Amino acid sequence: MKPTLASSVLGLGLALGLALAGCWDDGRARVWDRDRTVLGPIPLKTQIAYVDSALDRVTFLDLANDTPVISRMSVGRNAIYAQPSADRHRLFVITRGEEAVHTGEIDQPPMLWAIDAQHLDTTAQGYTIGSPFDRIAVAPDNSIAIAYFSAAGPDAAGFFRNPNELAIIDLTQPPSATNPTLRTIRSFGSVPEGVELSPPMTVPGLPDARTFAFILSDNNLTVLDTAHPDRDEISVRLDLGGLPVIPREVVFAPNTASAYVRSDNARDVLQVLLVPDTIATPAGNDYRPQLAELGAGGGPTDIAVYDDPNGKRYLLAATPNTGEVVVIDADTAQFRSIPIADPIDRILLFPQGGDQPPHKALFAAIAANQKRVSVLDLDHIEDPLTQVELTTIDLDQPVRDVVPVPERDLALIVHDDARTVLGLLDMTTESTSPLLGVGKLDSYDFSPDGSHLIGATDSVARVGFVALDNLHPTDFRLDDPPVRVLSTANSKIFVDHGDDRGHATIIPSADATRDQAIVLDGFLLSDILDQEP
Amino acid sequence: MRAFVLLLLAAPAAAASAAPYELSVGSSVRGLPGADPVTADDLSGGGVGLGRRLELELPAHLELWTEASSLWSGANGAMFQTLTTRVFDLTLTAGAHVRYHALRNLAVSGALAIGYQHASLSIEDTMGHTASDTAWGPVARASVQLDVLAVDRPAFALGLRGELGYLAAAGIAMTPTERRTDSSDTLHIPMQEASVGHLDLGGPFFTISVLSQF
Repeated sequence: MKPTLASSVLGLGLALGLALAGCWDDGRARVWDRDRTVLGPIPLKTQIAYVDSALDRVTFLDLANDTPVISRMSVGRNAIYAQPSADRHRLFVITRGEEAVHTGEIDQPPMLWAIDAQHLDTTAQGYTIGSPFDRIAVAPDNSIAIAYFSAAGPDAAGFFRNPNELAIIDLTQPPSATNPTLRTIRSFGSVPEGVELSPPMTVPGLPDARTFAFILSDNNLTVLDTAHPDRDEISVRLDLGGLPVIPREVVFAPNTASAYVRSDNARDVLQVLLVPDTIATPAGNDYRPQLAELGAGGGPTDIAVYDDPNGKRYLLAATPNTGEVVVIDADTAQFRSIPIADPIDRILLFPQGGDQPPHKALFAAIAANQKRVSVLDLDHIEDPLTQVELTTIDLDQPVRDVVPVPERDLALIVHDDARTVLGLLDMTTESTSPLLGVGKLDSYDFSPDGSHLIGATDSVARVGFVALDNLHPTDFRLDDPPVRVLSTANSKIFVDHGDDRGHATIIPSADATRDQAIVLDGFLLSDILDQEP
Repeated sequence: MRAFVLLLLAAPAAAASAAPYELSVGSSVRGLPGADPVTADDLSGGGVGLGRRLELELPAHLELWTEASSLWSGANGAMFQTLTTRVFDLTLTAGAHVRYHALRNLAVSGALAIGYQHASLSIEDTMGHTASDTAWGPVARASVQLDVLAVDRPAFALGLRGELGYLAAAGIAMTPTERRTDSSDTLHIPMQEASVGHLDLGGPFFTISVLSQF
């Protein structure tokens, strides 16, 4: 059959239409199909931050005013880790970067992003860190950050990974060829388990205050001068050939340029005193650590450092092996032992923080599930002629955790793994009050002034409050079950509901009514349609 | 097909003047270059069109038609492999097309139309929470049409119309809100929803429809 003009045109039109329909694949940007991980909520001063690994942005919810304000800041590709600074003013994000394999992808190296949450009108400062580190240590004054690998590493991508590599970033300076400094620390077969950065410490005889990095790894402690990251690090062997000595905790005494290190399987607390030294080689240091074993003598399981009213520094160490807690004069290493039967592994000092020296220490044996805690009066405890006032408080249930209440002489005692049975210990009267929850306390926080305990369980659409002055419990009905509850520095309560689009309830205060609260919905996808891929 | 070809062969060689009304029913597909975040698919659906020939003195073989049409179409998609999206669009337009009908059984037209679209967007997460929103926005459409008529007589015509064009749409601000499933008299905490931005459902489209003039 010979085709006619009409049938030919018809066939052509149909074919053209089908072809056009098939060709309208406009090349959707790959960003919309990327794996997405949302890091957060991360509490900052008056803000809550979420880091979106697919949209490469940080969403901030500013709760400073009555109406929450949503703002965003771009960071690099594929965020893998985020951490606020200790003062909650800054946020640090590590992005994995990207390798341009497909159209729409870009070549971007791993980067550390420093965000000043107090000035969100500025852009995030990005530092190229060379390797996809997945942990950050930040100095207490936010001057220095060190990026390093966790024991597991970030992921399986990449060919080689050097677990002893560090990136030392001077946060006070812009990125440059020498900032960050990449270093591989000397290793004796172990890898870093953690990095602690000191507050600025002035080594006697040296002109400037410096931040020192203490890198913890099995059997080793490495000290690095971050003011001179090109200089040699100093390694301290911790083991004596027996069981591996694993450093767990470092507390600093910046006024005396010293640090105290507690390690598992160690006999004593190690004091690392930094003293001046002569630079012998170009890469040498102008300081050296002077080591002293402070006579805990029984394998300390927890330590705490405090200054007495005269500014004299003392170290409290619990040594279950000898059945004691030891009060050590950090300057002279003289110590006083106080017998205590329980295998103490948690020491808390009261009052916490502030300028007040602590007057009492709380001891708990958490691993042993003991049904009691002990309180030691610290006033004049260093004087051997002063009678030891150690009070034992018997409880009905084993102690699983002890948490200090901020700004208060109170401690929250958790009695079971499900956190349904709690107790509140008043350190002034040394009395306990039980608190019973209706369900597992999945998330809790304290108001910044310590006036309320705020708790939530993911199976009950309520937030519970306990007024810590009179232990009066109240609760607040939510419209959706909570996943996490946080308190901001301006005493607002933020309840995250765990929705991928962003869904949260903001309660202005513990005594607010429902009509004073506000639900924020969809903030994680805000303006997503207007965003350039 | 054989009957269709026989009808074409039997048709006279000269074009007849068209009947005053037309009705078209068909299906359409529209690319969505501006809605990439919510779907990688095209909008597909159906449509109905009505036309009226204006009695005007025009050069030979030219006709001026007014038209009104309704198109409905939808698409599914996903964002970040975890959020399921659904887009639905109802477009209502009115306009005119100039039709050149020099040959029997064939006609071509150029069309312009303006109107409104009613866009719907829903986003569902892995926990089953669904948020949705709908809104109206203006559109404008320009297209060329090709009519292939199996029957082309002065009082009646029947055939197929292929239309290729572009629908320009203003981005419609969308603020998806989670629908409450509890009773309607439940008192809820005041909610502040964040906008996802502007949904642009404009794009190139192709429509194939059965056309009848009478």
